[in-house]
Amino acid sequence: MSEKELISKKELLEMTGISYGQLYRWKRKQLIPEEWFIRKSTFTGQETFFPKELILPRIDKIVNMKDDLSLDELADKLSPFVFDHPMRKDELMKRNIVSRVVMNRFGEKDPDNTVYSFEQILAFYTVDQLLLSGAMSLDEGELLLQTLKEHGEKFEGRACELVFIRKMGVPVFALAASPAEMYFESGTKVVAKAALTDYIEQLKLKLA
Amino acid sequence: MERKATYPDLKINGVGQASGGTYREVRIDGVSRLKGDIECEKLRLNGMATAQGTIRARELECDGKLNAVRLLEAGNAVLNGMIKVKGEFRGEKVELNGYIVVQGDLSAESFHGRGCVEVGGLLNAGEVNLTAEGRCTAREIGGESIRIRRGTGGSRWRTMWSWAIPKLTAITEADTIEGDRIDLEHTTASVVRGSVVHVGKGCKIGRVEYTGELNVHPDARVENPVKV
Repeated sequence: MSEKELISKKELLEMTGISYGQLYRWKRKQLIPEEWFIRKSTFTGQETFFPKELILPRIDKIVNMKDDLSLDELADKLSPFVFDHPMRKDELMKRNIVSRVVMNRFGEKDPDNTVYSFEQILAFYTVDQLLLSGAMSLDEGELLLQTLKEHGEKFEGRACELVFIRKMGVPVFALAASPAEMYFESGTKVVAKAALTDYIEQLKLKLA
Repeated sequence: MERKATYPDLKINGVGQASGGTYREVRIDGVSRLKGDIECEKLRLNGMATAQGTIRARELECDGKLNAVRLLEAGNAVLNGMIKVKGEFRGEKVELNGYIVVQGDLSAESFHGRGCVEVGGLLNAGEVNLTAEGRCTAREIGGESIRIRRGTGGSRWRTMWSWAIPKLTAITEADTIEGDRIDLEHTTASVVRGSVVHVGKGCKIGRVEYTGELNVHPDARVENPVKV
């Protein structure tokens, strides 16, 4: 939470050109989560602040989408994204959601204040968990990350299973819609089989 | 969806208690205690009810006294009497005659109230129309159009006793009031922000920030009007 950049309500309205009425209406419709309203005392009394890097894209999204969709539809669209819970890189590490090893290896190039989307965090988290279980090496993690990046979104909203097999030392990752029955030829070792939905649940709890 | 039509009704006459559940219509005449979460199409209350869980009702009609602990969620609500909510109150169209205390936030699409309103958090409604018959307080009031008036019912009796009972003074107090169109009378606030602000008689406002226009009644006091 430390040096998260905050923006006051007044600045936000000036920057985005929306009115108080709109902001309150969106809050009522739960398009803007309650936790983003941060109350702080200033010399003019209590003021409301928002985390800048989260609120600006969200407002942008709402403003762009509200012409095509009604607010209620928009709320439906945004709230299954309860797991739309972006977080900053340094915070992920600080709260020990993703270990430093993984972060340093795969997110080295991103500066500390990069905001990762939930999908990205999920990918990191999955890699992290598998690494912790000792079944996978760091190099294989890279492969997994790529798989998740490429195909993860295809399963949006559906239960999905990650299968990690190895034959003669060659690692193969697969994503399958669960429940799926899978049989492999002999000599194949199923190293890990994990439901991504479990990870999503765990991660939601940790992020909240 | 088919099953929904077969949800049972709940009726309590006299003194009783219910453990909660999903109902079509809940009707309470008398005194009752609702121990669990209740979800229903319609809730009619005459008398007194204490709910320990969440109440969700498409329609809520309340004459008497209702205490809710966690959350009260109502579509259209007509409230006469006294309502106390320890948590949050969410509604669509809320009409109030009487006294309401919400310790958390109160949000509705439209809120028409006459009487006494106490909100610990944010009073958030598209349309706030409040007629104060007693002392109304809210930490924040926000919405598109906000209109606050002083009620005239029993005013002579009230003036006589208000020196002894401060709750009787029909004044609205809020920390901040923010909205697009704001029309106030007999209101005390530290900050008012909006585009079109009308400050009527009996108001004491610390700071007004407005983008469109500002009208101040000669009997009102605004310490610091700022055009943004």
